Amino acid sequence: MAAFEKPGDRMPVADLLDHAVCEMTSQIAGLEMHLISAIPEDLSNWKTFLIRVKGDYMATVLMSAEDPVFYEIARNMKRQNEISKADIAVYVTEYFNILGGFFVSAFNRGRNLKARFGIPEYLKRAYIQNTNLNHDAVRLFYQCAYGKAVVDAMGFPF
Amino acid sequence: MKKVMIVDDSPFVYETIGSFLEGSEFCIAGYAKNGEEALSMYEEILPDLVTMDIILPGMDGLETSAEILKKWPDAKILMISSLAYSDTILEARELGIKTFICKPFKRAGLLEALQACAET
Repeated sequence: MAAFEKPGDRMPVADLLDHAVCEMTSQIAGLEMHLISAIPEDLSNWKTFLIRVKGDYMATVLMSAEDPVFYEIARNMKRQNEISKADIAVYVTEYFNILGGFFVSAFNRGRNLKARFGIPEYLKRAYIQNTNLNHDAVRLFYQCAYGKAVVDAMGFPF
Repeated sequence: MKKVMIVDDSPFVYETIGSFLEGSEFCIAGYAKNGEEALSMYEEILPDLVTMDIILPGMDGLETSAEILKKWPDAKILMISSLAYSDTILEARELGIKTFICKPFKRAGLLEALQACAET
């Protein structure tokens, strides 16, 4: 039985989310994500993956990104030069499942909560509300070599 | 060679496990993408070990494991999931599953977990 208790699980949600995004994207897809502060303007070629967390609390985690970011994640996971649009949905779904699981598991461990989620949903558009986020939400902006991404965590009992 | 049946809806996991098992004492005997498929495939190939994801379309991995263990109480199941915390681990333990590994995993970790599962 592997040991899952790790120091740092009780870290602030934004730090935990950033750690999950950077660590998992690097490990699974070989991409380095860097935090930025600029808000993306053109969202026309963006897609979204999201998970709905249910249990002791109800929450959502989502990642919207430019097409080339998800394309590169899927291409690296499949280890092939050319991939199809269907491959992007399939492989990035698993990427986001692992990323979401890493984040939600660490959050739950640190706060002694129970909650799970199902298979990530795929939306063929950006999912970024331009209004102010609620107090229970965290939004992080990222840049990698292939484009920009936004990650939101909403509804977590901070 | 020990026969392994993979239950996971993601081809990424199937491909990763396949490459990690090369040159080991384990080989893939079957690949099921959901719980229902897993139940019929288990009966057909009677694997030595099963790797089971928790998040599956339809019946989840814990329910599928419970069904397998009801019919084949000696089945050896390694739970593999991105959801790795006490809640899910406890539920798996209550079903009689003793080995659990979280995604993403490395080759050494997978082989060690499969070995531990085989010895349960």
